[in-house]
Amino acid sequence: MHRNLSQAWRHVRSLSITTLSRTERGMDVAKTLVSYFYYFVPFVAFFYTASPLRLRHNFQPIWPLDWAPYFHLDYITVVNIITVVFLATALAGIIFHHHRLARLFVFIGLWQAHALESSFGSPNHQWYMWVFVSLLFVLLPNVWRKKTEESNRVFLLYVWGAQALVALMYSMAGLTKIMESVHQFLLGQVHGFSIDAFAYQIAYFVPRLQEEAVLAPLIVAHPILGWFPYVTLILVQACSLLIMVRPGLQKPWAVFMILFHFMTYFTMGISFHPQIILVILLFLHSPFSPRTIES
Amino acid sequence: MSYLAHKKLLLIFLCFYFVAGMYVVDKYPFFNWALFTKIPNEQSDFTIEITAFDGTAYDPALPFSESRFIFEAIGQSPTQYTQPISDLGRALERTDDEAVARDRTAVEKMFDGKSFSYNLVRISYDPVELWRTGSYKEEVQVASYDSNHAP
Repeated sequence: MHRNLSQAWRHVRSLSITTLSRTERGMDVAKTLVSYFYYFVPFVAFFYTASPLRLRHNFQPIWPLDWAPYFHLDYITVVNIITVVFLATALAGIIFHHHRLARLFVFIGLWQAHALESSFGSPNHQWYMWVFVSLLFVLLPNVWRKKTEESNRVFLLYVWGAQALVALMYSMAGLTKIMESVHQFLLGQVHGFSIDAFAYQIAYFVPRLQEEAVLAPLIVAHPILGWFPYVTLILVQACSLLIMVRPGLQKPWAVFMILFHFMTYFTMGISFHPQIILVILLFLHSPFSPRTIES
Repeated sequence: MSYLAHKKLLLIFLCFYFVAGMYVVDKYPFFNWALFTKIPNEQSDFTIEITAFDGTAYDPALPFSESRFIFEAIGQSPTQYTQPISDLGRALERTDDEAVARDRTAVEKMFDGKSFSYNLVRISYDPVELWRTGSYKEEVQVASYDSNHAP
């Protein structure tokens, strides 16, 4: 059994970036991953434009929107400008994402729209990671036009970097849950590893958010049903960075995270649809996964 | 820039993001991703009960936690007002008149300018017990306001 586990562990390692950069298959998968990211940015743009931003109050512009009060623009004008810029850059990115300037504009559109969504007292977490991934992708070399081993390596490096950043964010989420659990345990409170933990989360947040959560009554009535998934989530989140050194784990990890976001929706009514898309794009067909290269 | 330089830049960025996020906690664009981290044990907070909205009186008063249908009818979300309501209660507790006026203005922007009257209520509760029984451990009305009468 020890030998089998050892073999399995070795199998989920990746080829090095340098080796991958010399493979046609590896580069094709990496380029496809990046292209599909830009094909789906308009999807995020649609979610943004479909939200009732014009009806919101208590606009407190954060620093990326400092140009708005500088030009004495009213809220609706700011919304309209950002909407047009976001849609235009997102659509342009579908065709021109091979060019760095286009990728820069896509980042600016995403960033400004996200900053607007985050200017009502708290940041928008649902598509935070899209902004950072688009920022990293600005630095991609144009391997669609000019292929050299050096440019291939840099390209793969930033694809890896985008994956690593998303995995890092999930790890931070898990780590902070563990830290807070220890703190609450020491205070004698219900903590993240308690049987009732998930039930308390649901009972507190669902009435505050006032969203439909079909599984919420079941978990609150029977907290033990939520215990194992909740504890597993904390541990898997905390260990997320492991998938960057064992890329063969990326696909099962991604499936788990997608299930986690589904469960968050059905138990707490909180949707992370753009995040699900990002996890699918970055991890379900990763150029670093041994199975992708072997197939 | 060489591959090695890109690699160093990327690794420094990742480390910087981690350190900045964990240290700064929540200052755009850095965040420690501590979402739903703390298990909410017994809570002390403020909420509102709506006694009238747009000409319709509510007796008994409509709890804020059951007011989503009003927000949906005007394309708003109740969640953006939970923090202003808490802020208003705390400002009132410390008798900060300026903050009370400011927070009342923020709260009374809900319902898109339609008039409403409400009671501000201090509550303490266990979330699971509240869910199961519908009862707060403590519920004290601390103020009554009418949005037609500006702060």
